[in-house]
Amino acid sequence: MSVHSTPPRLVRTALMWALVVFLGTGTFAIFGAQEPDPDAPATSARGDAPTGIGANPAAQPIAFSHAQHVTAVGVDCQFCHAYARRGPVAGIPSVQRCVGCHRVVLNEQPEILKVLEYWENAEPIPWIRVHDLPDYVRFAHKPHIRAGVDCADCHGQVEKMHAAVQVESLSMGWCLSCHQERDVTRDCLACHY
Amino acid sequence: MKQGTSSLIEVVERRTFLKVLGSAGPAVAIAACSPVPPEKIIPFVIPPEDVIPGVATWYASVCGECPAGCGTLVRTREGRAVKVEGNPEHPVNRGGLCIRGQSSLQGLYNPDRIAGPQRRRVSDAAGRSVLEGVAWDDAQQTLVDRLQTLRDAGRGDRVVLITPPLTGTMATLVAAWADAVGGAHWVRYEAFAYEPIRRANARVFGRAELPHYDFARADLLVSFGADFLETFGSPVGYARDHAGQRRVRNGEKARFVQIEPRLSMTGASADVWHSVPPETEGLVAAAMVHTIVDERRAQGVPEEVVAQIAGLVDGASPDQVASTTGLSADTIRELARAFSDPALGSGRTLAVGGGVGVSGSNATAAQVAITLLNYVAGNIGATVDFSSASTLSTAATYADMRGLTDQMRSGDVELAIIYTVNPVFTMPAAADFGGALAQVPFVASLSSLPDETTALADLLLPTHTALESWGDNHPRHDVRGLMQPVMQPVFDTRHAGDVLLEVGRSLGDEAAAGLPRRGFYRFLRDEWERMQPAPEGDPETAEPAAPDFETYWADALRRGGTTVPVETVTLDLIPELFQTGLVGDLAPTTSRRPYTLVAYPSLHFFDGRGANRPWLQEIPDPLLKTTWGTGVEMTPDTAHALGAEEGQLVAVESDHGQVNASVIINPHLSENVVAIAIGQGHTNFGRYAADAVGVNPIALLDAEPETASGGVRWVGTGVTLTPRELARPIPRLQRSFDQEGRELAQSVSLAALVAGEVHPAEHPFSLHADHDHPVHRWGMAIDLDACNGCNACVAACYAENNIPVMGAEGMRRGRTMSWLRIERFVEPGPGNAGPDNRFLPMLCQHCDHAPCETVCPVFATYHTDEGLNAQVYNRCVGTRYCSNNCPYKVRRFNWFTPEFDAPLPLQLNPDVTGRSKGVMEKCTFCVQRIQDGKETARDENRPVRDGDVSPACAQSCPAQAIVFGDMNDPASRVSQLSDDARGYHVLNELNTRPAVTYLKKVTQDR
Repeated sequence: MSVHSTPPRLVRTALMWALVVFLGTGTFAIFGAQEPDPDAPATSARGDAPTGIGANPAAQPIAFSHAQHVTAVGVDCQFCHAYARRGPVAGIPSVQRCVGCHRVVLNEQPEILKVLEYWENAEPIPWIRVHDLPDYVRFAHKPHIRAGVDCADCHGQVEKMHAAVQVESLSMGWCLSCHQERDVTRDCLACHY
Repeated sequence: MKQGTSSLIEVVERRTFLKVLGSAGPAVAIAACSPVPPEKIIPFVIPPEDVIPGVATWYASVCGECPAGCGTLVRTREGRAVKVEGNPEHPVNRGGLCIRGQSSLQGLYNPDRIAGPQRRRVSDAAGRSVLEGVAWDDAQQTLVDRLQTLRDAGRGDRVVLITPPLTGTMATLVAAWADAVGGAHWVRYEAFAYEPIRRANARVFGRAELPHYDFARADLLVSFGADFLETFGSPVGYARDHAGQRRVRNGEKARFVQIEPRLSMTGASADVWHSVPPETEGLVAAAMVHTIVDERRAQGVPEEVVAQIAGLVDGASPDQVASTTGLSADTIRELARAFSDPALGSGRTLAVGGGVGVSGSNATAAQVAITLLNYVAGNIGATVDFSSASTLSTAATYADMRGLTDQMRSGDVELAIIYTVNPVFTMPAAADFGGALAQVPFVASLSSLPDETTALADLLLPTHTALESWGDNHPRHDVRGLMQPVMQPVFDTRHAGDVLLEVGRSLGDEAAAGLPRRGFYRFLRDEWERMQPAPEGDPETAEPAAPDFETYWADALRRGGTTVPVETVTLDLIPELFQTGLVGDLAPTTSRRPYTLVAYPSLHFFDGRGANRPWLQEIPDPLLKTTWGTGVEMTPDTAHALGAEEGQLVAVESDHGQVNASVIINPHLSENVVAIAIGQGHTNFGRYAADAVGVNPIALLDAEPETASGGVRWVGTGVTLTPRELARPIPRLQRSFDQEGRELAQSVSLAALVAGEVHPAEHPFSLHADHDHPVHRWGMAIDLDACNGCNACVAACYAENNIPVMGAEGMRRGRTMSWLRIERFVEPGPGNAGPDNRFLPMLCQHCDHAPCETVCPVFATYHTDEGLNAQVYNRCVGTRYCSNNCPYKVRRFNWFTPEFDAPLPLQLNPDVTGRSKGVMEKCTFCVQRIQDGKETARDENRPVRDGDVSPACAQSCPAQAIVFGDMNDPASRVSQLSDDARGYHVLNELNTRPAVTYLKKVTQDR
């Protein structure tokens, strides 16, 4: 069915389904202390979502290639994700960090021009989160880095991906299997409080 | 998401929605298992140097809630303040912070804050006016134009500037500004300015100051209505000193006697509480002086001075005052002898007269008697210290404010600028400051929150709150606090100093010449550079070292200020003291009305400024356990005589006004006294003050000040009570203070403790196996002897753990969500010592044999191997079995998904999961802080040390009554306290084996 020939009533019903499905997912989750992002798109049908396994990697604002940066150029993960060893979140590189190289490197490519435009306007790049945990889970990168867990253990072979996608389920069972293997805490309170 | 949702709602009709919803059930159930909708992940454009996302950044600053000037440490996350704690390095409060200071966050994020400058515009022919938003430049120009006209016409002295009693750089700036605009009249207003104490010290020593009281050295403290644990002077610092001094040491414990007409929270901690009629405290003090000089017990006072003092208190012997005060002559004599006990040594006792508690028509005379009492016991220069006196002494008296009111009414004031203070509310209504202010042609307000005074302003120039401001603060002569902004302003506000500077500089070159050249922040730095003490030179070469201001400044910022050396002040009586009589002025006034009103300052609301903070409204009053409202307190006898019941409305009428107030039964009042807390009954103070069922006693007070000092007469107004056929109960979260024999809050006598007759109870035999705690076993000890019921821990818990406020309606249904409550129990005290009050902070006991754990069908609550009783929200299905089976009733169920009015959600702690409808929650021992402490220890490659982890309640406690730590470490403080002879577990007979050990209150032998 093409968009043009869709009767208005069907559009409304389709929108309604989207709303109902969205409300269902929203209320099921325990609400987080963080404010919900008012700009997050209201899509939720799995095929369209940029989050989760099988997500659509095309949704990112800039066609960033991890493979190019990691494999071709040899940039270390923590050069850009600089907070991973220092705090709970790995961090997305600041626009300043991107521009630090790209002011001179490939500064005429269309995707790089987008980055430079964000920099000129002093605006952050609104990346879509790929690895998203529920708000009632407290995951911290630092202890995992300290324990020598490799980035790829959870994030997969990002160096071979263009747009990053989620490869592991990030479910509680998946977390616990590793914690069991390494005989480290399996206390609920380690992550849920 | 917001936009998307609203457009959807626009296109979908209700009927279609229901139709789809009806058929959508199964689909929703399936969809609910898919991941949550995608989030954006927003990087920094330029990363701030000292911010790591997800890691807190702390700033040292100064609390701006009252003149005490406590030091604070403010925790910020990703650029927003989430918690305010006391600064352990600050000399005023040394780590604790009161409930009002902690609630400053709700001033910062108050949804009713003035969002930007506004100007009044006449909107219709009838002359009605509205406030409309304007740009900052326009708003400031409006003020500049008005000031320019007055200045050019040589009428700059017809400008008045009313501010709080500013100190430090802001005071310097305002003084310069007042000159620059042509001699503006600057009034420093504080509702509780303690005029009688200042006046009395002027009469006795020639020094109109408010001294620093050293509670840490007082072996016997006699307080005449001083609520020094609540609002008087510097309550957090005083509570710390007092609790430290009252600990049992070498088999002895400092004694504390409180004398007042209404039992205050402070009085509830006293060993002996004497109830006396209002305005008779001075007679008791004079009779004590009489006894001391009569029995030649004065310490270090020359003989001829003793004779002069004897002359002054002649006619106030214990026998002569006994019938008026209701205290027996022997009681007064014994107290006087104890107060001047040579065995204690000179200067080891302390008498304090309340700033508001002693404020009747004889207040100055009463304070003179109290000062003399300290003098004859040798306390001046010892426990009464004028060298580090409070700078509150610079505040105007209420009589000054009345004079200003007259000037405004007679048209002598053409422009008023009011910064932060709210005299329309806090001055006796009969003085009609509001009516006078309406006569002023132009009123500009520099305030961050709307109140009764800003409602009358023609121009609102909203200012930063203390948490958004640079500044300094000089609360005592020896302390200089430094205030720094902890975050970007939440609204379109400016610093009051910058507004004044810009306005002043716009008045022309001549005005600008008298003002600092740059902005307030630069001026502040310049002032601190000027004050920087000369560094010590090299001792060998005697070369003076070069002052390094940047290091000094950075150090002051990190510490939150600096101390200033002060000269020791020695004082002597001035001869004029003996030229006027004393005893004649001490007689209480009589009224033709049958009851006497005591208007008392509220622990939560101070002079009313706290009433717009949801935490302060919601957390129950420490004594009455009322929430979201105040009423008229009366004894059961008074209520019976009136035929009134708890909750019934009563018309309270004085010669000066009338209010309708709900009856609150409070047995701890002197005969024919009724009491109303100050601070509620606002008419224009935002939504939270409006939600409360409050009554404003200020409406009943006499406009005439106390003659001698010019202070407000908060106490002693005669009132008539008329019951009405209406009821409006104030929600009370605890109605009975009787333990019903359950021994929840226990006590032990000092004699029994010293004799070694006190032993911890044994645990009953248990069939359950004990848990293993291989590494840590977290535990807590709460000293009921130190706890004074001040609610600081409760506020800290609200802030740290995102506890929702249920509002006035919720409280009426008893729906508190607080994880920590302070239960109050009252036992009859021995003899005539007054009631034996006990405060019992009650929180999850983290039982080893927890009744809640065994009944959870889904393993949502369980015992961790660190001794915590865990509650896993995402497992909880809301059966509430755990709460039903909890003997301590500390679990809270979310019947609703909590709501926080914007921008209050900015305060929420991101380290604690918010809970939604259907989930049980309770105290976690601040597990996020435990994780943080363990994480820090791991970072530093060391074991967790005692003191690394402190839950919010323990951190905030001004009295240090709560100690937390690892009970697996035998050297930890909590381990030692748990083995203390006074230790016990609440409801020990249930054998729940709690991790919280209470230490029994110690009662004095009488």
